[in-house]
Amino acid sequence: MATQTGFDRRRINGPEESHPPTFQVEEDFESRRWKLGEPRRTRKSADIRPIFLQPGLIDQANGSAYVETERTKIACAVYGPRQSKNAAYNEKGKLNVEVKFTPFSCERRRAPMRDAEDRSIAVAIHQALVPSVRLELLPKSTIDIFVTIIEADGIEGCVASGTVAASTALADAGIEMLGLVISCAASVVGTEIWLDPTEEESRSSQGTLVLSCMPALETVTSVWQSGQIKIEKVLECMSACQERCIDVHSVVAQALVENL
Amino acid sequence: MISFTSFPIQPDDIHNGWRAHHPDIAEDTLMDLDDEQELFEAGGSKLTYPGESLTSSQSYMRGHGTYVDNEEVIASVAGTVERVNKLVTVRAIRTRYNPEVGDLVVGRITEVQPRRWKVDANSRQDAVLMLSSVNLPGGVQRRKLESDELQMRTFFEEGDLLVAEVQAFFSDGAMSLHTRSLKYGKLRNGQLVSIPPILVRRLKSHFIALPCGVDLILGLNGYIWVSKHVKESDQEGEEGFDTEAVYSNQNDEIDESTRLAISRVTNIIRVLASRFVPLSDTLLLEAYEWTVDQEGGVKDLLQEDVGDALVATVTARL
Amino acid sequence: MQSLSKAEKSYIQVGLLSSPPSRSDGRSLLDYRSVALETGVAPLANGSARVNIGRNANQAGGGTEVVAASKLEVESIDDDGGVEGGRIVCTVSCSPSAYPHLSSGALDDIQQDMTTILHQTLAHPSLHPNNLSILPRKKSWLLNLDVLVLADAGNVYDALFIAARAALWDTKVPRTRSVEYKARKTTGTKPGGTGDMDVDEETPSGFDTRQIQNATDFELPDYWDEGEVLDGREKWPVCVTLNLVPPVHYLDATGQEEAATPLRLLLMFTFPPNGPADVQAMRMLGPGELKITQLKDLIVTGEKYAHDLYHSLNVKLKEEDVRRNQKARDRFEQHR
Repeated sequence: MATQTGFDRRRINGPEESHPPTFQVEEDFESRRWKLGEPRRTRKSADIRPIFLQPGLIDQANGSAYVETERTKIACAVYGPRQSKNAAYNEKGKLNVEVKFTPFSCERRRAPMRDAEDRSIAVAIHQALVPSVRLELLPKSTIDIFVTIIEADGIEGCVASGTVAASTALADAGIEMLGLVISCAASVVGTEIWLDPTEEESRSSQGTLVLSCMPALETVTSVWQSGQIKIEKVLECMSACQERCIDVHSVVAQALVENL
Repeated sequence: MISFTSFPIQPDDIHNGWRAHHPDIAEDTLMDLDDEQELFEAGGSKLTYPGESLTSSQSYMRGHGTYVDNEEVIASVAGTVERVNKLVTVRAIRTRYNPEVGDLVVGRITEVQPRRWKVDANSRQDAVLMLSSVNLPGGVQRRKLESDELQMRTFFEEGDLLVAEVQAFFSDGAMSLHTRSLKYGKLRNGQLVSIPPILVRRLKSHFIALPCGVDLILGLNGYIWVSKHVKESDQEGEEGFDTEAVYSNQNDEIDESTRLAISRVTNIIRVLASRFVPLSDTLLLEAYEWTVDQEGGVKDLLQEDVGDALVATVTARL
Repeated sequence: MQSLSKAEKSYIQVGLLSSPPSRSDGRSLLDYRSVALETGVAPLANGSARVNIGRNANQAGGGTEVVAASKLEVESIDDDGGVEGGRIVCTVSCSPSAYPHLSSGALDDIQQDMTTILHQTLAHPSLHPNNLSILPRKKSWLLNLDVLVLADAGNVYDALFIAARAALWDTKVPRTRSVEYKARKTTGTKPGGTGDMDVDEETPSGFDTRQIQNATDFELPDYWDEGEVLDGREKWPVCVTLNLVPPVHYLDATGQEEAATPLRLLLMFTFPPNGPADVQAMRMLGPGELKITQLKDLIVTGEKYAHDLYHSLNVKLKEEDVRRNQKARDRFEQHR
């Protein structure tokens, strides 16, 4: 039998019996995959992922913050207020938000150029922050906010964490604000509302909503929703987000105070 | 609520019409140079286009809107030919406002520069309002101080509307404005309507007070300011006039009937302008009375049929 | 955004907040200007529409004018980026004549913002029509919805969505039929069995899964046929822009009103045939803040306005269909 399998005395042969390698990972991936109708894995539907927030990480900037929640990592730097480069006179200060994804932040490599997605997140963060900063005290000045997304886990997560990072960085820079802005994302899956969805969860949901508010003043500064959600569910989502924002607010306030 | 309408339908026979004329066009374009004598004598207004020869006679002087080439006077704009004695001019139908000294204009501040403001007056260039041409607080004869230059924004800032008179021209053709009269200055208590400049004819007075409590300022550059009526007595007072009042951005209290009247007049002006009817105070007065007699509300003027009826009535009475 | 003086802005704001509220042209808070709508304006597109809000009379121009057109392209799945079941891409471009005072960089930014809002709302999987597939796993339709803003006199987002909805309503997807190629067998080997030579005469529908396992290409059964309507055209959303001067809100702002009250809430609703309305998208734009109770009330009242808009728009779209059929028939009569 050995001679029939090609045993060659002149060469070093491999083992007589060999099997193709099996990739265990495939089956695990399949079984890990969430299916519609099942309850949420790893946390409760109303739980958000733990937040790590560190202000003052970047020295050269006037203010900075780094936020991390499981698989979303965002660094934010604030420069300003400084002189507007525009020749035109502006009575109120300008808030300029720029967002950049690093090429390794998503599953598929992103080109280093700025594209439409960067701008849409920048617009969302700008919309959330503008009512909170006292721009009327800063004529002819610009505040530049640079947000770098080091690892992204869904657009809604980026917007929510980015707003928190930017607001913390503004406070770290000593810019006068009416209050801290906190954002929370929610998605509707079946009949449940899951807060702080991951990318996978929001993709399989019917719709997602991001609410930005100032818990100290109890006002909403921005709301962004996409997908098909019944009106009552939308109202429920907003209430759930607002409650969660109050919790996050105390975390952020504490981190700022500890850092002083 | 919302109502959907349709776009006006393009009649199909336009295309048929053109095809029929096409072979004949070549003959029509050659104009006999002898004909222009008849045209001028007829006295009617003749329409012309750029490049059309108006007259070859040496005795005619050329005016605005024409140029001379090979002893021929040729039109350079599309418009009506006007002849006054020996002067031939062509007035364009739609053109930017052409300023003259002494014109009353309504403008908006675009820039604040050292000792002057730049004003957008719907003309080829921004007009200039010098700091020395405005009334400064503390009396008409007050000396200009250094602090005035640093405080220019307390007088006029970007976006403000004002009414002024054209004082002179700079060498590059830009207007120089002045507000050295109590009836000129910053505008408030109303809203702006913009119409083509040629619809505003030169009148004796461009400040019109309608009986419904609405004041109108017809700027010759096509900007019209419709506001609440200001009593004459409030405008008096040469001695030490109040900066707070003149340069303030605060509107007065305006009651509901005045606001309604302002909206009505605004809509009337827009309707007349869209049908190319030149404005005058008598016309506006008649139009206002007509709309008040109508049963409909102010916003009904925005509808096409009501607008047509208004224009027909008003132009018929002329 | 036009520049207004402080006095003008205050005049508009006080007018809106007074009781009864008054606007610069005498409309009530909830009145729209007249909206002109026409479908089928681009004959080379698969579906098109033109919308003008607040046009002056007598073709004098003015108003917010938007043209939308949808064009279908075939793409291969896996190669060009095609997706099983087809996909929709929305783009908005702004003509520089609509915003003459903006630099090209600022114009690009505005274009991109409008594109993002339109695309994120309409390309969502919940609205996806199910007749955009040609050959499963091989070829599908890519629907490009291009919207062009020609003039902006306020309320451009409502106009964008009305035009997009009308163009998608008007879109016809060409009917396709899958085709199978088989090598000709030489005579003598086997007697002709089933499924031998040309197979096409037996596959009337491209979706008959039993017979297209080996389908490699498709053809148009009738070149001149416009096709069938895009599926799910009842589902496309309408947008209502609520301009906010807390505690008051109003609809269809002109350019000056938008400059005086920049805070607004965009609400997109979709109305399924049976059941309550769904919120398809929501955005808050502009500087300002709201209490959450105010926001909730606005969403509920917004739905009523959207409902009216939806029904009026549907009536108008059906009228347009009838008018164009009539026009086509008249033309046919003329040329017979």
